[in-house]
Amino acid sequence: MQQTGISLSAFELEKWIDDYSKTLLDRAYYLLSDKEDAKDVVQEVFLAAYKGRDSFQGKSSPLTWLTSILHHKIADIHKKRYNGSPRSLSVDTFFDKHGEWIASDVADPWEEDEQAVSTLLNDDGFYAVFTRCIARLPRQWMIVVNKCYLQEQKAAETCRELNLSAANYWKLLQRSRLQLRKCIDVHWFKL
Amino acid sequence: MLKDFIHLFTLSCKQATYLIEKRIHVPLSITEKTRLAIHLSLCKLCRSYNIKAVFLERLMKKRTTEEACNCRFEKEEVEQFKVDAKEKLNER
Repeated sequence: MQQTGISLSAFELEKWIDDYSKTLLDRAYYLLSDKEDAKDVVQEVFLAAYKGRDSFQGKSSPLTWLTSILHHKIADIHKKRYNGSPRSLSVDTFFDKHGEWIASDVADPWEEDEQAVSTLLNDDGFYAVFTRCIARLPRQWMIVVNKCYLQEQKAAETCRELNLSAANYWKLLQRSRLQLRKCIDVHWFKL
Repeated sequence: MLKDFIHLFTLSCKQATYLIEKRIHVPLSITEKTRLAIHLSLCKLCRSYNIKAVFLERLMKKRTTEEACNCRFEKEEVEQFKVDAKEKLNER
């Protein structure tokens, strides 16, 4: 079969929809944490692929090409959302004006020996509390946390994409971790 | 008194937790390493926070595997999506 870059027909695109929808939807859901958002963006990916079909050279696999379009679109969504709601990175709820811990509950022990830790890491109930605590982070922070962990994106790249200084990047992750620590403490260890 | 001394020569707890965060992701400079080490040797609360921060990191890493995130579309949802997607495409 003669496959030139210009020949992607609507028919072929339908085949791509059949073959790759599942993979793209799951990936989008993973990165956006929302089913409706995931469906919208994958739909856009197929439309963009159809419009931009001339630029598909067949050098990479269709899935690789579609995934790269998906990642671009998701980066745009994150950028838009990140800029939409600036949030303070202040850690004043945790530290006083001298930078000292306000509450000493941070010292209350969690599981400390390796055995207890690994039991906890495999406890579904505990893991559910952890994911709920993540979901409670302000959306803007969650975008950065997800870029760091789910996309395993490097700090420099995230800073560039979101127009964030390196210091604020670490502050944001610091702030998120402080909050996660507190949330898990309250909703698991102190129950 | 002791706290003032710690802060004067090394870091506040606020700064220490910032470096604890940074250290999880990238190597610290020699100065940062030294200041954090001194702070941790003197401050029980930050030592305790550090253990928890590292533990949280293991949880975050666990979440990185797509299996752990529970974010799969059901078969019927995917089929419905395919129908809708083709319809939208044909509108063009």
